[in-house]
Amino acid sequence: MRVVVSSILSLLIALRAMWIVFVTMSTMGDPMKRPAENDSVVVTLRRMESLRSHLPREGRVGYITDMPEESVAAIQAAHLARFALVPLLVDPHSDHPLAIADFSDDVAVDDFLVAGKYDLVRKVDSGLAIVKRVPP
Amino acid sequence: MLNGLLDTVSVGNVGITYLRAAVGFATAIFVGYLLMRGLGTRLPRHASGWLLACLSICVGLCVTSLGTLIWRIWFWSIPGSLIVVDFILVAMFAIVFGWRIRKEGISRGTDRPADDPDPPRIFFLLFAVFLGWGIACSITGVVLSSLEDPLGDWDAWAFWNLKAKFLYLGGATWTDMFEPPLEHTDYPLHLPLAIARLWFYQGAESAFIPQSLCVLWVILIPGLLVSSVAATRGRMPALLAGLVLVATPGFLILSARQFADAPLSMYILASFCLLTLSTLDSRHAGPLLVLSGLTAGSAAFTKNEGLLFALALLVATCLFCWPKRGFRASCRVGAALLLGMIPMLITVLIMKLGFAGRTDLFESQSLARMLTNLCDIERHREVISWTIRSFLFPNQIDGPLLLFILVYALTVGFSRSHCGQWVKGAIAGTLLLVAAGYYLVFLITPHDLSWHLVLSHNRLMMHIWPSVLFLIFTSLNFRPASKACDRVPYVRRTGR
Repeated sequence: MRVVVSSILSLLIALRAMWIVFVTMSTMGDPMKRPAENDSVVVTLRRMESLRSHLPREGRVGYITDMPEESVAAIQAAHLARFALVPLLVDPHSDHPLAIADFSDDVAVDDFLVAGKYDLVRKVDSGLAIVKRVPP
Repeated sequence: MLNGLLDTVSVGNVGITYLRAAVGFATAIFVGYLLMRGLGTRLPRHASGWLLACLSICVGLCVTSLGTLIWRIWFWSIPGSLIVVDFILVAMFAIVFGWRIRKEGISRGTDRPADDPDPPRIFFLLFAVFLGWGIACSITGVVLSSLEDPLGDWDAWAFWNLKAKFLYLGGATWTDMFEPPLEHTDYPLHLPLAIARLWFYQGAESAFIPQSLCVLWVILIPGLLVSSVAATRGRMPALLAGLVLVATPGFLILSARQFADAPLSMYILASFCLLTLSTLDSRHAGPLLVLSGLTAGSAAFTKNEGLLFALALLVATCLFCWPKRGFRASCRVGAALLLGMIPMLITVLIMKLGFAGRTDLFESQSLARMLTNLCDIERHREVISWTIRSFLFPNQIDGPLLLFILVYALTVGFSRSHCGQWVKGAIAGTLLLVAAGYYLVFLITPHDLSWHLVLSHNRLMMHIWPSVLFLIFTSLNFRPASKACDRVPYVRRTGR
């Protein structure tokens, strides 16, 4: 009796397991609906990678953005800049002679430069530029 | 598969670069195999193929990562020298293996346990097909997830793969990865080293390597669980354990994220598996205990939580071995474990004391605040209620499946007569100590507690889940009348 019950139970476990694996697999991702090329992480990373050829390979650069400080988007963008530009260290908290300006559009970059603290070195993408700190 | 981050693998040389990465991976497995055989490891004969393959990958990955670290510190500037370092590892362990063959002959492994005979063939085949289908679905899930998120989840690109990139691209300035403003500079380097090593072999950085490792985890961890339960209890409980693991949504989701939690759970499981196997044949327990220590050390080399695990394993094993086998035997077991742990622990300690920053848990708060948090009843209530609720989350561990296992366990009961009862106590004790450690960390965390629980509670549960399944399925009584055999090797029991 015990053998029969345990066999039925083990079969139930196996069938339930099959169902769960199938459901989990089908919810894990659908590249047809959400292709990687449209993924915000991949898009941001590609944007940051375009800076690589215009920056020194090593050392430190600053990172300035018009996104709300401590917002998830700002933290993510800074981390992705860091990831894209290794072994260059991207430091969002300090004033460095050279910095990445990551803004919503070119107008925002121009508005930022009007303040006179930084000079433009090069515009790389829409809202993305390399800027140089003006000596006091 | 997407080349993800930098697309440095051009279409023309795709085959060659992947072949080179495959050679790097095969070398790691070979190093693991030679080390295991060189130490004189004897596994139960009926399950030795799969088990040896799984354990060789575990051991090989950690030993070659250590070799890569040594190479990265001293020899990285010499072209092609990583291959020389790997060749030295292969040659060294091959010489030891050859010496052992000459001394003892080729090991035939130990005989099979008698208590849990094979199930009826049709039943066995059905469950084997179920498991195969489950693993195939898991691989599909990980591949789909990799196609959608080629860089993995936040921690993957913000910490683990970032460190791998520093190791690969950093040149002489690779130690900048320990500098502020980078965060979590205290995280151990095993996973980044394993990724960077394969990039060096490949000659390019691509998302393919971390993605491939994710696929490896969903094959290797169930494979290790199935082969280790088969080695200790028999094939039927092994297939059931494997099915339950692949049907754990949290395990599958975590494996696909490119985090270090999946390899950590693998090393924890490997340590328990080797510790249990050491009790099956007491004459050849030494090498298995050393390897158990090595995999526990590898857990510490993978994540900070692994340090807690290594310490808990050492303490619990000695404490549970002492009453059953006496003080001297307990010390011998502890010394063998420690011997295996030492290379990895020394590496971790050098990294933590010499290079890495302080862990965020202790950096930003005083002892007084930690004590205040410890005494805060509200925090205790929140952590406990999270733990209870997390069992009910459908994306963590399936509730009905858990219920089936519970009913199944109550029906068949727990075995009191299987070999090495003290080991089950040691495993349960280690898991409880680790869980208690996690509980304390949540209590004293300087971060917002709810945020910390949401972020890491499910991951911490998955660290120990494969080992919990190992403990359950090696403890259940699948045969009503099994014989007592504690401390008696199988070779003796079967009359040889």
